[in-house]
Amino acid sequence: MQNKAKNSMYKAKKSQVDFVLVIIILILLSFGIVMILSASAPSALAETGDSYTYVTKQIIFAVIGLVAMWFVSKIDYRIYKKFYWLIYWASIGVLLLVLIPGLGSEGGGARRWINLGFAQFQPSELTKIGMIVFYAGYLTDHKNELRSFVKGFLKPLAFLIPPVAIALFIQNHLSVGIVMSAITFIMMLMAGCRLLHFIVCGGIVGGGGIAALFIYLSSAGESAGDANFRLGRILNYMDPWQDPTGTGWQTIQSLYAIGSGGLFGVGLGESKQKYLYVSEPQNDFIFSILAEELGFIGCIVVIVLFALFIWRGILIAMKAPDMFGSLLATGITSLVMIQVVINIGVVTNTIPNTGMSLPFFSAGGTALIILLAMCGILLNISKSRSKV
Amino acid sequence: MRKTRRKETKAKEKRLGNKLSDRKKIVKRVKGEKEKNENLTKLKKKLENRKNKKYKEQVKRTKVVVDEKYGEITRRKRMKMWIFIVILIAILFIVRIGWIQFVMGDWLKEMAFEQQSLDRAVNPRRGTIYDATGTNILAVSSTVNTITVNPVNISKENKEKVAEALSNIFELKYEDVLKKVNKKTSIETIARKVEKEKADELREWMSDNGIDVGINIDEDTKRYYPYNSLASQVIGFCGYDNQGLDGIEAIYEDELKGEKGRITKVTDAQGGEIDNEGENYISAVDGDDLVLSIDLTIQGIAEKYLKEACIDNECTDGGNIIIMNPKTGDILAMAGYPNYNLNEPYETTIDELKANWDNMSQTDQIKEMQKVWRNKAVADTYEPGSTFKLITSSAALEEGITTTDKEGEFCCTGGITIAGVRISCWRYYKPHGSESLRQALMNSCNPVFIGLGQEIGVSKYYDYLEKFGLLRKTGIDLPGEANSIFLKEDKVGPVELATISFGQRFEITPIQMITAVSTIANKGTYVKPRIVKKIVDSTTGEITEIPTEKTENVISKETAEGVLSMMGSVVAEGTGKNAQVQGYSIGGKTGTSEDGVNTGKYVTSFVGVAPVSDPEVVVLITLYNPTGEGGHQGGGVAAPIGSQVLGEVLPYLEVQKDNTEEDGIQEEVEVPNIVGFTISEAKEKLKDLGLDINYEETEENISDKKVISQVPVGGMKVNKGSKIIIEYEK
Repeated sequence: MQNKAKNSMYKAKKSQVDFVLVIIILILLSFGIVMILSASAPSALAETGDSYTYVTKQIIFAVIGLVAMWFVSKIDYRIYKKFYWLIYWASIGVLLLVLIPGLGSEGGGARRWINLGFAQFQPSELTKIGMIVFYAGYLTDHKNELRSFVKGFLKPLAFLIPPVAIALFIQNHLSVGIVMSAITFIMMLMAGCRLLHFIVCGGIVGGGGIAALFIYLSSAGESAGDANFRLGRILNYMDPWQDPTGTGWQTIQSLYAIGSGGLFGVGLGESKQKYLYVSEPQNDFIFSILAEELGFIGCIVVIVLFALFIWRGILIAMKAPDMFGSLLATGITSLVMIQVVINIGVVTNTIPNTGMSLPFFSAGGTALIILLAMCGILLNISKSRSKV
Repeated sequence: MRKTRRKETKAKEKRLGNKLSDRKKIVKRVKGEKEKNENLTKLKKKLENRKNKKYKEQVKRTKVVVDEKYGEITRRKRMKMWIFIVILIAILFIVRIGWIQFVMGDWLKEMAFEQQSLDRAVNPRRGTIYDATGTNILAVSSTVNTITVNPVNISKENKEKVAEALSNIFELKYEDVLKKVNKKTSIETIARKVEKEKADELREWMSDNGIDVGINIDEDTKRYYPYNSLASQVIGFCGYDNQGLDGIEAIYEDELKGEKGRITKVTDAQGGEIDNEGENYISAVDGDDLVLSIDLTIQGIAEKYLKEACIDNECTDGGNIIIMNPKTGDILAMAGYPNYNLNEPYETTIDELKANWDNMSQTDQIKEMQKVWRNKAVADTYEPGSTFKLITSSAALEEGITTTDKEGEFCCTGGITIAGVRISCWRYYKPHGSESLRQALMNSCNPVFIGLGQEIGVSKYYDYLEKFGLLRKTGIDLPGEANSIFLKEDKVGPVELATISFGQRFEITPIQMITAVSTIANKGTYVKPRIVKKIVDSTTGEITEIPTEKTENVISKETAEGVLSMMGSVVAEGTGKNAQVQGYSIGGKTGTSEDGVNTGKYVTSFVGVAPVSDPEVVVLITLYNPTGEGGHQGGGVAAPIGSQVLGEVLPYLEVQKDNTEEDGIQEEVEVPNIVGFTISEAKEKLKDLGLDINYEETEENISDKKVISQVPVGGMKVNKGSKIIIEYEK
């Protein structure tokens, strides 16, 4: 009784969940399902003989995900803070599950899946949210150290090493490493780590990289022309037409799809590129199909929807009653943001190709459930916002 | 006193004592005060310490609060910055997508469309090639099938099954087929030009096994030459993709090939059809038909006798016969020996080669085939020899240097000396003596023509070469035509002119030779030779007649008639006696020359015209290196072939007989109509009239078959004993 009273006293102004965010989530989710229905039909037909294979699965997972979101939004987010160390170690542990024979399954030459029998599941999805909780807790508890270089900058980053190393070297999963690192940077920045540290370290790492490249270029190339040639080759990694049937295939097909779209697109369901040209049109490259079918307008709508989602997320982070909540919201929002940016960046050939799914759109059951559950956390934080 | 003293002392003592105690007290007090002071300072210090601590804590506390406030402010600031960055990224992406869709859009769209639409060509029917009659088919395309697979549309478990079936039906290596079926390409060709039966077999297998995607059976055409080797070097053959590779097939490729149609369908990356799109069928436009000037019958006659002659005379380098209509330029026949089977253009027909054919390397095989593919009548040059005296005669007559029949105009002494070089007559051992031009031609007397050449002079002589079309290609519609090899005019001295005058030390092609003689036969009008007479448009049926290209007045009519008359004498009484044909006046000239210098190889030829008064046909027979017992003289070897060929060709062409002198009276009868009767009935009818019947017996027991056509048709008048050529129903 007393505890409860204390809790309620502790609580700041009780308010409703962020209704705008719920709407955005629902729009994105339904949009995603419609796109999967359209994009996945040919490959589903080719692989399983049923055009609706992916969309049926996606709807089931979306429903489960929405239930999970509702359920999680009822759980007070502060509870997670008590277990952040446990969650940290569990996050690392769960990454190693793929190594257990019989449980982990290999796909595309990498061990990053766990077979649950009814569905495949990437433990790294759990690790991402685990790391967000951990950093939110850790940075809150050590908020007074954040301005020091060693304690506030290097030490928090050190916790990133084990999961990223496992992701990179055991799972061969570059994108998870990138996402986790990026989320951590954003959370640390938002927690109040000194920007100077990031700039200096970023400068040193980046400068070192450029210097290494330069040394490589000048030492390997005898003449300036040769060096230019090498530099050209390095810059040309973004020219997919150098190897149109090999490494460039995915990117070229994606560009064909987007380019075919025009202003209004070829019409929903009318994509030609989804017919096995664009690899996994229901997955990493679903945005290309969207761009082909719904055109420039459709792209703007989706990008604006994501921007709105991120905006609401940041708003929740700003209005959170405590630092833990704020950082938790920051982490979840940045997770969505990073994935969207990398995904759209890849399909538009703005950045090099790394496998990255588009939140709410890409087919992928467990990932969707976890995403919606995270949205539940976000909604829970939004419920207990402080006065601003 | 004492008391007082005592008192005093006591008092003193007391005082003292008091003083002492006071002192003590003072000391004590001082001490105490000191302690007190110390304690106080201690206390003070303590107090101060406590106060400090409190303050410090307070300071600390405020500092934390400030820090937290500061932290929150930073966070807020940074989050606002974050929102700004998000907006920036969103704009960047929108710009990037806009760039892809609007700036690169057209190009990307085109590329995407290109890869999405998979075209299967619908091959047009290649035009039919008819002979001069317009009814006999020399080359025709029949429908066959091309089998392709879309490997990715064949499910994994079916791949081996499909490969096995395909390899069985089309007799292919299983491993090769499996490799194709396992490929990741969109389309692979399994077999081309398979017969309908095979394709049906495959269709049946597909329906039996429930496989309806991934295997395509597309119509294609296959070239078929009903007469196998007939006129092979003229017609030429087609390659794998129905492209004409030689002869008429190559020259008239554009007319024959038609326009490819397309089956366009929008496909996925693996060549599968995108089902809702369906196939877009753009039908092919068939190729145009050609009607050749080559007449099947005449060609057949020419080939028959050429082959016979080449074998009899052991012509190691073969031979050829050209038969030309001098009035139209139509090449009625152009036979070459040895030739090849158009239906199997890569298989030799020469017996000596056949035995070892399979052991030969492919390069050697091709080398051998190239020899027989070559149409020597247009592609190779030869020394015409004495036949060329016709040109010299024409020029001399035209120039008025001589006349045909001036007795004793020339005198052959067995040779002539030109610029210090003695050139012998072929009959140097028994000179011809006094002779007219006609006699000189009949004797083929070299010195006479050398003398004429000298009189004409180089410049004029070359003018005539030019006029007779001997310095340029004839432009006949056949591939690979060679040009003549003459010395340049300014390098021709008297000796060179002398050799040219009787047809040696230069080379021309047989087609140039016959065209030049045709000019004489056509009374001085040069006509460009042609193989194709008409082009029939496949869609409209419109007939384009190829016009005859003429150059008039190469020589005058009188000159031409003079030369023709002399040619008649050559055959009637001179070296060309062997070319005589009963009932017809034949003109001609024989020729023999060395093939090259001191090779011991000879080219022997005969050029003939008939009938002499108004020639309908010109024939040139050229035999390369005859080594048989008949020798290598044109009169002995080539002229008889002229007789054989013309003996059949002239009646076939229904050329009126004009030479009744030796023949006596020929009884003419009217040809009855035998179309519709059975062969046995027809035979009887014809027998009664003294006519014969001629047909190709391809089956046994045909006497009951009905006659469907006859040549000549009923009502025509023919000589008794003539053959009526019939065709019967099959």
